Amino acid sequence: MPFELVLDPRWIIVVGLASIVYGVLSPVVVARRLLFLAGALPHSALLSALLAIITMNLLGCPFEICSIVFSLILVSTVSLLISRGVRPDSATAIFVSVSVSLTTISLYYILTAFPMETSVWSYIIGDPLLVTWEDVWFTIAVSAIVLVLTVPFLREHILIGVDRDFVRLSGVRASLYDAMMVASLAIATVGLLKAVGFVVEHVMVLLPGITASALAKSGRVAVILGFLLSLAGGLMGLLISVATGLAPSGVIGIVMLGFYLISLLRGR
Amino acid sequence: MSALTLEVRGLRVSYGDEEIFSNEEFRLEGPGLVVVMGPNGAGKTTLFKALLGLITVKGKVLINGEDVTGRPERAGKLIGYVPQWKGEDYGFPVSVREIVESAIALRRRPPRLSFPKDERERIESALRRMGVDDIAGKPLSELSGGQRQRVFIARALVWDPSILIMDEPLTAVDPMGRVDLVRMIKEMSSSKLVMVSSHDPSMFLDRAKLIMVVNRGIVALGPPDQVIKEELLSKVYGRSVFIVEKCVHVVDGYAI
Repeated sequence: MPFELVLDPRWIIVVGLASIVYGVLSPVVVARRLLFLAGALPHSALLSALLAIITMNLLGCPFEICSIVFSLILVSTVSLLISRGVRPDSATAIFVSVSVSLTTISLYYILTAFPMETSVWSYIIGDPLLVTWEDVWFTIAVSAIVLVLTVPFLREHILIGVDRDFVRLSGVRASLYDAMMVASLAIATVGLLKAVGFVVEHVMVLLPGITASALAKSGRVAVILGFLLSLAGGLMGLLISVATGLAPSGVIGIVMLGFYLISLLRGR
Repeated sequence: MSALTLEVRGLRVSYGDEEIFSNEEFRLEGPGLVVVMGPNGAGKTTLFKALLGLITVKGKVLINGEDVTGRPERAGKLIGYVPQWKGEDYGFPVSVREIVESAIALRRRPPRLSFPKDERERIESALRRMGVDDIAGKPLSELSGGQRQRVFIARALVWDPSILIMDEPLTAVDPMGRVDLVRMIKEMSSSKLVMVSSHDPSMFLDRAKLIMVVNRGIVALGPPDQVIKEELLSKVYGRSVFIVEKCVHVVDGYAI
């Protein structure tokens, strides 16, 4: 029997958009030395999604809006702590500790209070193969918002990480760009959580940028490489997972890790 | 009024409860070289940031009569700034050209797909002037300390400002690189008001118009022959100051 690979357009759209969004955000995360914060983002995204499920079931608040609002509040709190002088690793450690505890409580509550209404597995392990057209439209909207907030201002976002004082002397309101970056990360991580999953979000928000930075000799090339590596990793991972029957987000994570290991062999 | 003036009136700068500068007053007129010296933690960088509007202060900072207090976007149009390099690894590749281009790109609104001819010429001219045009494609991480400083000076020169502030430009620069940099800085001071901080002012003394000694306040400001005195510097640096054949040296950058 000949080998046949069946791909649903919804899978390609969702994985492609998630890869594009993380491919744009990841180099900026590296340039702005937000690796600690970015590592904590999936935790805030998962907690936000769980709190949104509870709010939706108890108050009827739309899940999509609630989850983004919760995510914005949580990520803004951490970035506020860091901007007020708390060491990024300390702020992140405190944040992860608190969010993991609250996530466990929320998860337990959801599984006992409304076990039939919701499936939290997709938020934890991510499954682009289960997305509905409604999920696709939501992913398109989230991606559009994040890309509009970041792509035209990539130069500002990156140079703030290199020399913040000079950027301010050039008339750029760095604090406004900080807020835009925090909002983009908060919206992306929670908005793409269902497609990518909590576990692999760690990989997708960090590895494309780290890999691209190790290979490139200029910011422009690093941004382009980060984008291409993320997109290639996402689509390759999807194809391999469909062909092998393995969990898509897990395979995407492994492919991204493979790119990183290759970059280590090549060196800068 | 001179075309090149930097005036400070009643400047107060505090970090929390600690006052670094209290009611400082001075007026600098250019062109010329002003060497700012003082031990580590004395407040040299803080003073520069106050002049550039980068930190919140009380009092007034006037450049050519224009109030730039707490307004970096205004100060940045009048002053070129070369920051102190603290040995940090950026962790992200940024090329020499991108650093110098940023002086123009950040002042334009997106999309900035290309630079007009006159702006391209400004960038190339700054790269050539500082002798970094042949390494324009290299990332900062591959440069020596001296090359890196020249890149940041090139960025500061793109708009040809009449005032330049350089924070410890000789840090992490090898001896030959220092000689080159000092020569360039001296040349620039013939047409600009250049403020440069340094632990050891000896390399600039022959050209310095004024020496400013900072140690949690401005301790002294005047011509080198009035300021570079063992008695005054010993109060600031303690036993780090010694005299060798009538030449004052500071061998340790730490405050007493």
